[in-house]
Amino acid sequence: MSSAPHMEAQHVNAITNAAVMIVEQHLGIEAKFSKPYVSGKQFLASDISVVMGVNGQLEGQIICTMEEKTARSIVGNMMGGMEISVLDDMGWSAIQEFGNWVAGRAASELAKAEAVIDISPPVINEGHSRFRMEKTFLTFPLSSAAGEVYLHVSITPSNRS
Amino acid sequence: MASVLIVDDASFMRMMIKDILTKNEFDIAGEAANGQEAVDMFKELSPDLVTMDITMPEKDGIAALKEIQGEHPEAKVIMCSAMGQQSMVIDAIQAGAKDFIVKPFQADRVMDAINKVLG
Ligand SMILES: [Mg+2]
Repeated sequence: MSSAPHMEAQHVNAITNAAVMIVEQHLGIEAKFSKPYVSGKQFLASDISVVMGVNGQLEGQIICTMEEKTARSIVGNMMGGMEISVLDDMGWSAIQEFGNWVAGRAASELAKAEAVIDISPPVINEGHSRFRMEKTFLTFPLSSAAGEVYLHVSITPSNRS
Repeated sequence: MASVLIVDDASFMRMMIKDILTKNEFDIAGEAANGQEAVDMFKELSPDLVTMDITMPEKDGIAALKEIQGEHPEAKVIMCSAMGQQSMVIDAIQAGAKDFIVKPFQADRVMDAINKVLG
């Protein structure tokens, strides 16, 4: 058993607000968060993971995971409501950018809670895999009409600040 | 027609911006996938306008903006970033950016910014 990670409520809210804003308000896909849970120091990811580093006043990772069919549905929506049968290079780029949008909006929301962060360019991991980290991940499940999107977050105040 | 250099590491975003611009009869001067490419291509192409992402590998958009403005103070750069926090916007404007568009955006927002800057 790992202990619950120390993440302030306002930081948690910033991240959930950001994801809902992007998925619901921008993409027009109905979405709802269920209660976040502690994944511990490792978790098993679904088909696709968008991995982003966080640095600044908070440090760590934001990893956005989903099934391939959810990604296709989100990408189709990003391309203006197209049916996507297979993710091509442009589709992969789009899902990477989706992760960037969510993390970018999270950064804006976190700034309102006085935590200034920067996000590193996203990296995509294709295929089921186990992520491990020294610090604890908190998982935020977002149910949407496009399918489940999970935000695995491990951010803590940096030692430098 | 005015020429635009599109800078974004995501080919998806470059395609979206290119689509908006060509529909509005702008010329695409070129596409750069990181800040260093942006600096090099600006020198080579002297575009009328640049759309500049921030989060990119090699060199980020703020560093590229500073370099471009340093060498070409007349350059017109509009930031297009998912990072919309106030400190980032202030940084960019102080470094010489003419406007700051937060991704994801609507086509109208992009055209308004471009027309204002070129107007
Ligand atoms: Mg980018």
